Amino acid sequence: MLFNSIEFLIFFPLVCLTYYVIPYKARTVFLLICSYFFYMCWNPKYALLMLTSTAITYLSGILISGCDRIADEKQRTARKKQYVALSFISNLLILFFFKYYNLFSGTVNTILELLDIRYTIPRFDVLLPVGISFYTFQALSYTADVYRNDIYAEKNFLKYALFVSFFPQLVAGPIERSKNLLVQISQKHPFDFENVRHGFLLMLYGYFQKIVLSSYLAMVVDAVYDGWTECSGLQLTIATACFAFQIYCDFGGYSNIAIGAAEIMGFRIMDNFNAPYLSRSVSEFWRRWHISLSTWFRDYLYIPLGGNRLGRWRKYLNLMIVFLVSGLWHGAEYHFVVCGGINGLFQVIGDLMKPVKKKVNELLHIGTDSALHRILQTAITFYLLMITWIFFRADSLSSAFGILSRMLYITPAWFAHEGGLSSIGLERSDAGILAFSMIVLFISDIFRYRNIQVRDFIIAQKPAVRLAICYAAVMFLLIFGVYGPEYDSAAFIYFQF
Amino acid sequence: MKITAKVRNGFIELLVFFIGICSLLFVSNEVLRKKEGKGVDMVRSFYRLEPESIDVLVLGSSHAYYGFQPNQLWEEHGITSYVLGSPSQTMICSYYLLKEALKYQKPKVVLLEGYYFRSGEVFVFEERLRPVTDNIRTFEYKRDLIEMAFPDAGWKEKLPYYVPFLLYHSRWKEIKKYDFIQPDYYKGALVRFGESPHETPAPPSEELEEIPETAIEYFEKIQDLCRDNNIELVVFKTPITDANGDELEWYLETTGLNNSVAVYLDKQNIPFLPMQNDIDIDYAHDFNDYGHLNFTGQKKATEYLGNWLTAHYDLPSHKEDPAYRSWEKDHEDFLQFLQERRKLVGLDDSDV
Repeated sequence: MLFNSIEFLIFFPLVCLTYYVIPYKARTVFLLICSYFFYMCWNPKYALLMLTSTAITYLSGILISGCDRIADEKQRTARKKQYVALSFISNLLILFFFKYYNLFSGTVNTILELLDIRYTIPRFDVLLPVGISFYTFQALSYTADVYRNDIYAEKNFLKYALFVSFFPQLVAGPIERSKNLLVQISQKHPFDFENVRHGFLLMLYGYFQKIVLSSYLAMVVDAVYDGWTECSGLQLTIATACFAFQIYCDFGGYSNIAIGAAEIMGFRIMDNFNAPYLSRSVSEFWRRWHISLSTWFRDYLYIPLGGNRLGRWRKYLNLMIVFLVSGLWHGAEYHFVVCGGINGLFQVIGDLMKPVKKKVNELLHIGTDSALHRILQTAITFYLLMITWIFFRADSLSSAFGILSRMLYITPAWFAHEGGLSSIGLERSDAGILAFSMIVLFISDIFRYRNIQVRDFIIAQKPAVRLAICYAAVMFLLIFGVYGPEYDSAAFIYFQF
Repeated sequence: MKITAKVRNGFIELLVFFIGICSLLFVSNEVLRKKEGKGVDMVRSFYRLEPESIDVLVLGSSHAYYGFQPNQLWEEHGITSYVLGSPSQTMICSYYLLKEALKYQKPKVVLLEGYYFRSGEVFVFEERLRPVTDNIRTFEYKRDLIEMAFPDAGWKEKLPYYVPFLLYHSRWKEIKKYDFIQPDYYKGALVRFGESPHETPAPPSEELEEIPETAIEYFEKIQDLCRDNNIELVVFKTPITDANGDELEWYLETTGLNNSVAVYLDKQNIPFLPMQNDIDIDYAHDFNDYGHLNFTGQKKATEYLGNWLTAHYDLPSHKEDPAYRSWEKDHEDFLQFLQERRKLVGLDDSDV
């Protein structure tokens, strides 16, 4: 069940109520049952897959910690590495089969065809299990953390199974670490109104991002991208900028709902997005965007590859590897890989250009802390990111290049000459709501950038003010949110009979 | 958990929050819900009638609410009436609406427009079931209609019928004055001022079209209800044209069905008023489109029905009765509305 479904709006309050009513001892089992139920609402069979990953990583933890009894250090490390490798390989094989096998077989078949070899690798019609990339990475981080002695192996299987399947962040992150979440599973979480207020406000904001902003932005993106061959450079630029915010609000909104839902139950989950579009460089962006994944790759891929410790060119190679893999993680299509590759490339070029930028700034006496300089950096970073998003959104590599080449030719014609709002799929009333919502997002992100939580400010108000803000927010969502069956006013205009 | 002042205040805040949200939702739902006929709101406005205040209840589809004018019946005969119509109202819907209406009113006569003898379904167009299910108050009737209409649908598909806000929340884009105020003077009828000139239509069909079994079944339930409540049941049919030959097939089918309805009702001993040849209809001026009467057509049809009703039943005038003063006031408001509305003819010939 999705967070923006009726089922979840029934499921979640019921879970919360029961969770706080039952004794502490029963809560782990209760949350585990709820989490599996939540997951099985998509496809009950795939719960077995999650259980398999859970069992493998649980055992890996026990086995790795069991190696501490081996006296010989070399032998101990070698054995530990074997178990880590076993856990990683088996989990990644499952991920590969369900997510990447068809991309792989398609690629091999194309190569075989090019070489005129009459052999085809079979394709399987498998449905991608929801959230497999998320929970696999979360479970693998546990194996790695136990190996690094960052955490003790969890002996209680039920607690560990809940760590892997904890429903708020199960299907779309944040990808939690055992150091944070597994520890909390063993703690008691008494009912606390502060947690409920904080969590509820964050959920509201997440819903605002998801069912208002993301949905309205999708109208523009879908209208333009679905017929991009007929669109001008300006329309494509606007739509691509909208897509940048759509994916932020969609994903960020979902993360905020997850974090808020967990907070209501007393769990603190790591932040996933921190005003990413206010970044002044692409590398800063990746420290603020999908933080739980970026730090996962940093901790479990970039650093093991050598990070920046093996010289400049090796660092660049490592960066490129991480971003290509990150692209692939997002989807089993080559345009995702290209999207990741371009992001890596931007960072490599940015690093190489550092001395040049410094020289130019010195020559032109540009103060790097001046507001203009910062705004310019943010704008340039956003434009560069827009280029990468084209590869994320476009259906194929060829259409991505087509869109990019069109975007480079922005005609000087005024927007009105290109059909106005309707040409980008918006009615005037929708545009008003979108503009207002974007302002709210912008203000909220500026506060976030300065480490100020708007919800702390709201909670600090008198109850009457606090309630008024909540009423306004809930009603705004209920009225302007995109949910429920589509109301087609044309179908409701009766003419005859 | 220890009940401290902080905890107590927290629960109070939570309670106030829920009560507030429910109240706001109620108000928003009232504003955003779809109002039929630009505020005429036939089914919902029915509940605003004084209990047991109407003599004649009219049921049926658009043919009923474009073809009958309660204000005129009041003006000419002092008889109170209401059109509990809805777009494409099928016989099944008419039955449930009558059952509902009898909880609030004790009419002496029920006038049923017979166009939908043609359908044995719950709805013909799904969105046209909405005016009935959205507004009918008795949960049991609402549930019966929804279950009958969507026997195979899951709860999620049916939920927007029970919680209409799920559908109508996005109506904020088209909010009009009538979403806030719905006048009482319409009495369920709509008036159209557009003119669709037609020539005298082809001779009606002499064939007999089959009436669906379910339509008969539910008509007989209507008949039983009327009998049990000592109500005279009359079926009428407003005139139609063949759209200068463009809708000949539909015209012949409809007139063929009228023939079957006439035969059937004769057997049942129920009066049937086909009206097509009984009123002095002017095909050049009395139609809004080929199937519906306009203002002048409605006037002729109502005059005919009023005369027929007073000739056949004991329906005394309430004009001098002080208890019915509001009907006179509503009638005056209606006349004023007509005067204002007719000034706009030519600019906008839409509903009401």
